[in-house]
Amino acid sequence: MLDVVAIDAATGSARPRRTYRAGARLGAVAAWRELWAGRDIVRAFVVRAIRLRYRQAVLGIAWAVIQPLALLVPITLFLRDDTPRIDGVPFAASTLAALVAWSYLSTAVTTGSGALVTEAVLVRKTWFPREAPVVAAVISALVELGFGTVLALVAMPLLDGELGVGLLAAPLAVAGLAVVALALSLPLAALNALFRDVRHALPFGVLVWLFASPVMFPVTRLPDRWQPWYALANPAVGPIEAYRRAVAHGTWPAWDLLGLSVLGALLLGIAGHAVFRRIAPTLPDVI
Amino acid sequence: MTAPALRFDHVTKRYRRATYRSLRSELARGRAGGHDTAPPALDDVSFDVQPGDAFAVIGPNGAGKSTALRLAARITAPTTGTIEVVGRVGALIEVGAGIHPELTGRENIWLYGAILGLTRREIAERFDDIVEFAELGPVVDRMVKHYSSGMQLRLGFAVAAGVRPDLLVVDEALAVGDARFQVRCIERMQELVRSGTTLVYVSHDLASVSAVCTRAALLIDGRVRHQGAATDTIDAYVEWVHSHEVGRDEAAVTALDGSPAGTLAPGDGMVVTIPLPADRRSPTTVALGVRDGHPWNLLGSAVTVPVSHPDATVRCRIDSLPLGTGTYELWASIDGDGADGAWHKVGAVRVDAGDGPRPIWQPPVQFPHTWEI
Repeated sequence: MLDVVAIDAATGSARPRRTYRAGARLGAVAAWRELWAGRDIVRAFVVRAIRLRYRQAVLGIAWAVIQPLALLVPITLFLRDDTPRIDGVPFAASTLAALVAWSYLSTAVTTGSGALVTEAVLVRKTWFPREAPVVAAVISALVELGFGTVLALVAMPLLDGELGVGLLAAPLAVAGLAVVALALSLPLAALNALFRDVRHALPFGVLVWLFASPVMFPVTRLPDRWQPWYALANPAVGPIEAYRRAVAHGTWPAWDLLGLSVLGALLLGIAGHAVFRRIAPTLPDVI
Repeated sequence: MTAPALRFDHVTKRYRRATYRSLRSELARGRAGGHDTAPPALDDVSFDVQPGDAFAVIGPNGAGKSTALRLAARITAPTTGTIEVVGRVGALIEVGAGIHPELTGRENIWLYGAILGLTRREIAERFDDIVEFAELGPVVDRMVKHYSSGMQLRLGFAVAAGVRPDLLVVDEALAVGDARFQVRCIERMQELVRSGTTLVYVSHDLASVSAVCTRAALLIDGRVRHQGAATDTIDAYVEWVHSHEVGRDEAAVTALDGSPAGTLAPGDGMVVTIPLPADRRSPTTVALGVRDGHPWNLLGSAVTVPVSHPDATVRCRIDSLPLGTGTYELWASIDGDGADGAWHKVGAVRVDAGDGPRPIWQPPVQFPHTWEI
């Protein structure tokens, strides 16, 4: 396997010499450097996605609010009797927060893993860091999470949720969610462009992931000694729990679980990015 | 000795068969029998483009021209071989590929500019120029889906022309658009070349190639058949085209003095000799047309040949051919006994204005004129 000899930022004034060899692939670090150099492209994709989604502003924002609410009602009706309170917070309040976090993961991973297919024309006709549309999808879904968070905070007094200093940890929880979404979206976006099966399997996979994540139940339903392994195996666990605590409980995250989940997400992300870098250069010919 | 701005070093590009794959079929096929035997799109191609050169890649359809550009623009990777590029590459593979109909012209300039590699500051600086070049002033805040196709095209090219890369790669982008737009595009390319940009240009339009480019490579079936000065390479291409129509040159073309017509200058005359069908018992109508690759005649004339005509051929003497630089096809329709009147190609002729100032725009048919400026 040959290496790319010199890659430099695409910044006009200097004249970097680039050499493309057969079979050469960017290393992970070089790929992120290129993405950083092309951050204006990511920004442009994000701006476009937000403009398109919220051009009819009422519908766009309403969607961000309806999704978690529509799920909250049946889940609360059926499951509240099992767990009336979670760490002293009413089930509905705590679950609304978890649903808002989940709603972000679901949207980000779905749009993120479709991003290269959506941009097929651009992929065929232009060069840009191929990670850009995937990263942009994960970032632009944050707007929806923002609306969802506002909804949750407005609803908390009505549902008897607790507001507290733990809310300050919400940005950390959100960052964790974004890392998880990106780690999954990168390999899925590349595979999705290559194999049509992925597109059909994705909604089912997301549904299974919902049941496997602490959304309709708190992580404390598991025995203590299993919790770290659960957080490591399913990187959604730490950030969802952290977001739940910040927004509905007003308490700090369980740092160990959040840390383990982020570690799991990073490992997944490194492997996923390797898959992505392997597939991405072949896409313009097949997409 | 400066390093080339673009170097292809023994580059071969082989496409996988372009079918949509499924995971299941991929697993079923396994890793063993994974290679197809389709001929490569590019086969061991090497060429250098020096900094500041205007370089054309010409050749028939399917020769690998677009593949070469996609490789130079880094869109796709070579199967074997190495490509070296110095500096920032601007690729104009398809005008408007990045234009989104649901966004306004203004939003599209920002989006497409970023995709083409402009920084936000560069877009901000050039925004007014881009709008002016595209002539979109009053409608820049309307959604692009309400634009005419011409306006969308101007928007796309204006943004791409705002990119001032070290290496500009242009693929057939000018085949669309009206004449005025084409003139402006060619002017802009000439301007960029004068200001030091290296240009790699693919076109079927040999007239625009010779207007813009000084050097060229001829690709045939994925191989470099000829490279060098643009005029020589165009001649090599024309020669190749002719040699591939052996046996179809029913008509003989000579200069007015009877010598074989190689390349004519604009305004030169020629004599076309067209064979008549044998065993004519009624008058035959012979029409001669001149085409430039499109399925209609630019020029033409018809004559009815009486049965009493003694020769087996009929000759058309054209005192002065009102055509500019280009390669032209001669077509004939012969109607009468032993012929069905269908138009068919009977020969070709090349007109070349030679060196000297090149017209920025030139439709095929010319007329004696001077500009008073």
